Amino acid sequence: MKEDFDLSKRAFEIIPAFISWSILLIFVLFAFLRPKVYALLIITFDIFWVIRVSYLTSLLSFAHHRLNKEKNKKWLSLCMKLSDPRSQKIYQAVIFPVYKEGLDVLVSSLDSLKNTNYPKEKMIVVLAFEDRIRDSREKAKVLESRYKDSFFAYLSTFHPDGIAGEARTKGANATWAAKILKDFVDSKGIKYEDVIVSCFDADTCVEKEYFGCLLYHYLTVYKPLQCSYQPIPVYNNNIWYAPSFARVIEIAASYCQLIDSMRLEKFVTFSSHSMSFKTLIDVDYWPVDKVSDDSLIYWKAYIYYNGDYRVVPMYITVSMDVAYGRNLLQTFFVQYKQKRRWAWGIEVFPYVMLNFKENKLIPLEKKLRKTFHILDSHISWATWAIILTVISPLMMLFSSYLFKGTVIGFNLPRITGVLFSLTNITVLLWMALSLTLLPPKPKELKFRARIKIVTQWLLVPIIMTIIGSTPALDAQTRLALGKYMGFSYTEKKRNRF
Amino acid sequence: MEQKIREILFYLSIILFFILVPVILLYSFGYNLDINRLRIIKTGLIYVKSIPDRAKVYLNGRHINKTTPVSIEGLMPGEYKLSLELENYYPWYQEVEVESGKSTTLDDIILFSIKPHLDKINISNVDDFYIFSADKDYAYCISENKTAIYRTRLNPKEKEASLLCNQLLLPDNIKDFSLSPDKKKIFYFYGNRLDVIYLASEKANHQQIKNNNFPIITNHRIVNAFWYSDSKHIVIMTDKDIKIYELISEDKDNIITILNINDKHPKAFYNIAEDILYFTDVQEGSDGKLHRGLYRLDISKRSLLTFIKDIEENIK
Repeated sequence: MKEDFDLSKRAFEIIPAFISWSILLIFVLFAFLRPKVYALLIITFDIFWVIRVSYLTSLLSFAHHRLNKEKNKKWLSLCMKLSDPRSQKIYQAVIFPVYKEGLDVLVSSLDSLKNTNYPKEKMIVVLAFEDRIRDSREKAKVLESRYKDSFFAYLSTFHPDGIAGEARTKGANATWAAKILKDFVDSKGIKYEDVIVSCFDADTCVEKEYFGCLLYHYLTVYKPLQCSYQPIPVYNNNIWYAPSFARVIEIAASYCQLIDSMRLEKFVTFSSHSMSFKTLIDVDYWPVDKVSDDSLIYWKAYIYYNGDYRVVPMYITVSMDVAYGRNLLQTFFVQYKQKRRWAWGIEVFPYVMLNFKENKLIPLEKKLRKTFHILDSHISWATWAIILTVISPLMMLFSSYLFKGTVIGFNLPRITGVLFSLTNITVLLWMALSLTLLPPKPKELKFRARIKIVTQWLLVPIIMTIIGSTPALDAQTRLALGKYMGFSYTEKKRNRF
Repeated sequence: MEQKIREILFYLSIILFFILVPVILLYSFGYNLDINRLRIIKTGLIYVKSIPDRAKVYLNGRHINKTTPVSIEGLMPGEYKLSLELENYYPWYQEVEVESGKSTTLDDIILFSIKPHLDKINISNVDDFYIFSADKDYAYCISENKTAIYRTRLNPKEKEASLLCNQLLLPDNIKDFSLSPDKKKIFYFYGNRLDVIYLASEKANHQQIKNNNFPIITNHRIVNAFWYSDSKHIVIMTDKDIKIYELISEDKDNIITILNINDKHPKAFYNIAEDILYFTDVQEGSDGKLHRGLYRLDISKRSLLTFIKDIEENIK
């Protein structure tokens, strides 16, 4: 039985990379063996891509519009107006899994909690340190002295290293902290369903109305226990100081979340997210042996509730740090590793498939849709930029040989060129939208910083070529080869690049 | 509401995709709608590029409202009369065959000007000129009265000419001129006479330039002559033999005959980089008959050294 399970698991680990590599190889092989079929494929793909990007850009505009509309809402007042007795009872528990983040990063995150308008006597803050990190206890002591009286409870937890069955992941640390939080909640006689737990990256800074917004959604959605609550992550903490290259990539990441917030059937938890504490306990916390704890918690709950679980988008931002290095090359590697870690989210595929196989209560149609969504997003990610920016232009070099003296040989470069340019036009809209998501320019920065933040979008074709698909293809290939990734820490910087 | 709009957009995108794909694919592969017969036909195209560009394009005598470079698409298979017109240039015309699904590329059309650009590159009067491979940037000009040789750059912007030699009396029947590889001497020949002229440097005072003419007279008609790579020897080919003439000093010389030949009108090519002479000659074959053949005479320094080495090895 176990052997069957292992074999199925390996098969599901191989499938995404197999499909991605097959797509890429099909394009290259057809180019040389059946050039006309290649031309047909590449034109069809380009049309598909132009329409898809236009469609996604329109979703982005809708989501962006919604974000702007809800920006100034007084969520907490709206909660009071609901006259729901639960609104007085709900505790907000926030877990910050900490690795090597410095005090400057942690203080700004905790200060942002302190500055929220949510009643502090209903807030529990858990700083989840890794015991193996040398200065964890010193940092905990400093922070405790500063924040212990700021909230209903302020807890520091120290996740021991080497617990059987655990990997060195953020999820393992968060789970350890959540279990200690459970003991605390039990000791205070608080019901689990009266606690909303948020698991935030250590650099996450929330807006003043964040918990009001979270409470409002918790009180108003259908089956609140069967929902995760997802804010829109933006990377504004240090965006004015980050290099253009990294800024564009992180803004694009925010855009992906905004787009997915409009596609609820595809929407899964990402990075900082919130959920009912009861649900967290029921689904047995975050996974302790996987890197992608943020998305896997959604899938755990989805399977636990037999497909009756969803992610509710909250059009309120949480701000995090842009990851970058000391120079452009280091920034490239930092970004590449971070994106590869995100793309490692494909590890949910075997987990979901194996559980779908076991679970007979989830309708087949739902299973098929979810399977398609996982594969679609990860395989598109691993292939589109390579097809558009590497295979297509490379084949143009051989076009005079492949399509000698034919109408298609003459038309192909022109048509693919026009379609690619149409895709790039959407970049103008992304640029315009990005300006409205920006925090105010720090006074010490000159006007040219503003010019750079506009012109940085010219880098999009280069970024697409070098970091568009390769991290995802890399992650899928590693999974297929059984070279499992561990959690890689992304250094947080607040100083100028 | 947003979800409703999103759904509409989603289905519109799908519809758009299924409309655009066949339309763009058919267009890309050269298919066109024949409105008269209401059917789709496979067409061809002509791509025309000219130097200079912006020429008006006429197809079967009709102006197509486009200028070069241009691709004329959607053409039914068949023969077309293609012509290009550009003001102040000679028109261009060609009959072009168009095949279905094929592109006919005409990207090497040159339109020649009606008013060609003419420049005088020399300030002096010229009777004749030579451009030597040893000095390709210059023309060596013979003055109108055939008494002087000038050198002038082949660039109309630099019209200055420098006098290399005067007080000459060049005959009318000169067969050829040749510049030495060191660019310091010129020889010319006619009949059985070859004259070497020592050229003055460009910096030389014109007053000092005089006739440095040293004639070599052979017993036979000179057919061809070549500079040896060291610029100190001349290979002279007469209708009887091949001689090597050594320029010892301006008033001394040395001449040897290295080979007798039978061909009265030998053709010859001298490879100055390797000092090898290729020539035709008539020799008696094994059948006792005379055959005209191509011969190779290696007179390079390297071959002479090898020859000595071979003799030494034979003696041993």
